[in-house]
Amino acid sequence: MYKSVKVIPPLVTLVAMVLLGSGCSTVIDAHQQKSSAANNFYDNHFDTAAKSFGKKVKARSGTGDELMWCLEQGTADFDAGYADRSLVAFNRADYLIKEYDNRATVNLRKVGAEAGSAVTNLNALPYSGSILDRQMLYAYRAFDYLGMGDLSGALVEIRRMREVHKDSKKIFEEQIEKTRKDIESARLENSKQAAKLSSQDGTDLSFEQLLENAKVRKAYDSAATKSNELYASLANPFIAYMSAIGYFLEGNMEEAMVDMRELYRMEPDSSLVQRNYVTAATATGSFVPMNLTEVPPFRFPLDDKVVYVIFMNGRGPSFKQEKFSLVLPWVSYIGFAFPVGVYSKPEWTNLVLKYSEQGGVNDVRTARIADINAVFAQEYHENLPSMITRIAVSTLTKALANAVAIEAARRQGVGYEIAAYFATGFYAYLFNTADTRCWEMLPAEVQAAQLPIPEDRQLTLTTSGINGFGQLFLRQKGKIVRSSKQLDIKLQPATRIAFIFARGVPAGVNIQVFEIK
Amino acid sequence: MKLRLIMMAAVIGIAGFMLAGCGTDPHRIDPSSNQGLTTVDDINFKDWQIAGEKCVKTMLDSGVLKRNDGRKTVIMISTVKNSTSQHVNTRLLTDRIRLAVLRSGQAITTTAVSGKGAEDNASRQVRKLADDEMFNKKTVVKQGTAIAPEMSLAGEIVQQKTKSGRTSESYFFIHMTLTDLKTGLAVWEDNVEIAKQAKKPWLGW
Repeated sequence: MYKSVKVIPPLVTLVAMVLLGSGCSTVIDAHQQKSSAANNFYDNHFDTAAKSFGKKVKARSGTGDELMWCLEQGTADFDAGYADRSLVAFNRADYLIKEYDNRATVNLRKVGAEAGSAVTNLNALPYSGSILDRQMLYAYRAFDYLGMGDLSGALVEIRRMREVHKDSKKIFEEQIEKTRKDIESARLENSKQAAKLSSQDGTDLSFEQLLENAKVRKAYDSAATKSNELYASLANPFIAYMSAIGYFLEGNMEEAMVDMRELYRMEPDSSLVQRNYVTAATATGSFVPMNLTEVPPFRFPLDDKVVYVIFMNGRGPSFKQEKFSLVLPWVSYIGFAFPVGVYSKPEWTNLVLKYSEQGGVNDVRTARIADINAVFAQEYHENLPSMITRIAVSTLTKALANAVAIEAARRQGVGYEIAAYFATGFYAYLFNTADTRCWEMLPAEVQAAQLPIPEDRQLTLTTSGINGFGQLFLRQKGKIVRSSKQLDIKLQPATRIAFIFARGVPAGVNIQVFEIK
Repeated sequence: MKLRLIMMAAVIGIAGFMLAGCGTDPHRIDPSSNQGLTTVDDINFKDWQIAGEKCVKTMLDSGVLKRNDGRKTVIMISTVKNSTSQHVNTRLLTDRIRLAVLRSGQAITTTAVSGKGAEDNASRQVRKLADDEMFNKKTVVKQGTAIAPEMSLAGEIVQQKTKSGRTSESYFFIHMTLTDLKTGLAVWEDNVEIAKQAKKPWLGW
C-alpha cells in the first residue's frame, strides 16, 4: 500500500507537467478545439477566425500545439487580406519547424515528450508538421510576399518550397524511422511489464491484427481510394505548379520544363498543365508527347504583362477522432482512439475570367492543378500502418501499467481493487484522445489560370457551382470592399504581373488582387 | 536520509540550471573580428565583408576603372539577383563595393539611376521644380545636366544546400560583373565562394 501511494504524487506531477507542456489536445482533440474558429472561417468570417486562431497561438505559445495554431492563423489572416500579419504567423511556424528539425538526435525535450506520451497519448509529442504542411507553408509565405508587392521575396519562398518538395520523401522516411524506433522501444518496455502479469496473451498488437478491425480497415481503404496513385512519393502538383511559375517569372524555361514534366505526370488531364507543358517544351525545343500535339502553347509571355490566377477551392481535408475497442485476455476491454481523414468536395466548379482582346471577348476558366484531398490522403495512407501501431503500442503501455496497478491493489483488498479500477478507468478514458492535429484551413483543391494583361486592363470574374452563380467578394486589408455575382477588376497602368488569389468557401469566392509593377 | 536530501537538491539544482540556460547579456562585438555568429543557411555579415573585400580588390587591381582623360568612370549599381532560398539584402555587398570604389578615387557612382529605378529620386524631383512658382527658376537644376553612367555593376547570388545524416551544408556562389555600357562587354568579372557546414548534435536539450 505504502509503495502504491508513494507513486501517486510523482505521477500526478508528471501528468500535470505534460498537460502544461503539450497543449490541450492531450484531452480534447485538436479538430474539436478548432471547430468554432473553423466554422467562422468557412462561414466567410476570415477576420473573426484569424482573431480566434491568434488567441490560440498566444495561449498555446511554447506548447507542442503552437505550430498547428500558427498555420491556421497564417491562412486566415492571408485570406482576410492581411498578408503582413499572415507572414508573422508563418514566420513563427517556419521557426518552429526548423527548431524541431535542428534538435539533437537524442534531446531531453524529446525524452520528456516521450515520457509524457507514454502516460497520456501521442498529442503530448510536439506537432512538427506533416509533409503537406511543410510544402504549403512556403507556398503561403510566397503569397504573403506577393501580397506585400515583393516579388523577389516571393521567389525566395518558392525556392524554399522546392527544397522541401524535393526532400519530402526523405523527411517522411526519417519520420517513419523515428516512429519505428519508438514502437520498438515501447514494445520492449511493454514486454517487461507483461512479464509481471499472469498471462502475456494479447500484450502486443501488429498492424495486421489492427487491420482486422472494421474501423481501421475502413480508414485505411478509404484513404487509398481518396489518394491519387499518380501523386507518388508524396509529390504535390500544386508545389510543382508554383515552382514552374517561379521559373516562368525568372525566364528560366529549362527548369520550368522539369516542373512541367512532373506536373504532367501527376495531372495529365488538366488543360492548364497541358498548355504550360507545350509552352515550355516549345520554348526549350523539348519533346511534346503525341497526345499534346494539338494543344496550342500560350501566345503571350509568362514573365511580363501576365495574370496568374490561383483558386483555393473548398474546405480542406482534416482529421476526426475515431474510437474502437478490443477485448484482450488480460484486461476486459481496451479503447483506442485514432485520426481518420475527413474530405469535403470543392464548393465551386471554377472561376471564369472575361476580358477583351482584339475587338472580341475572351474567357478563361480556371482548371484543376492539384487535388489537396488526394495529397493529404496519400500521406495519411502511407503513415497509417506505423501511426496506428504506435497508438496501439502506446495504449497497451498504459493499459499494462493499469493492469499491474490493479493486480497490486487486488492484493491489498477488495476496496483498493475497486478504487484502482475506477482510477485507471477514468485515467484511460480521459487520455484516450486521437492526434487529430493538422492544417485544416487548406483548400480541397487548387485551380489556376493564366491570361495576358488585357489592353484595357479590365477583367470580369464570375463563378458557378451546383446552385448557379456564386457571390464574389473583393477583399482588401480585412474588409470586403465590393461584393457581386459579377466582379469587375481594373488593373493599374503600371502593373507588369498580376496575381489574383481566390478562396472559395460555401458563401462564395473571395478575391484578392496583387499587382507587381 | 541526509544523503537523499543532498541528492534531491543536486537533481533540482541541475534541472534548474538546465531550465534557466546559460545566456549572456547583450554586448557589442567588433565587426572586423571573427566574433559574429556563423549560421549555415544564411550569409552572415562576415561573409559579406569577405565577398566585398575580394570583389573590390580584384576590380581595382584589374585597372578597368582607370582612364587616361583624367575623368572618373561613372558606375551605376544595377541588380544583384538573389537566387538563394534566403531573404538577403544585397546592398550589404553593393554598398561596400561602391564605397571602396569611391575611396579609391578611380570611379564615382550615380544615385540617379540603378537596377531598381533611381536610388535617390531627388535628381528627378528637383527638375520638376521648374514648374513650381514657389522656386526661382534660375536656381532650379536644368534638364540635360545629369551625367549618364558608363559602367554597370551587377551580379547574382546562388545557393546550393546539401544534407547528409546530421550534417548540413550550404554553398553560396556570388558572381559579380562590371559591364561597359557603351559596348555591352563585361570588362571585369569575379566570383566569391562561401561554403559552410554544421553538424547537428547527437545529444542536447
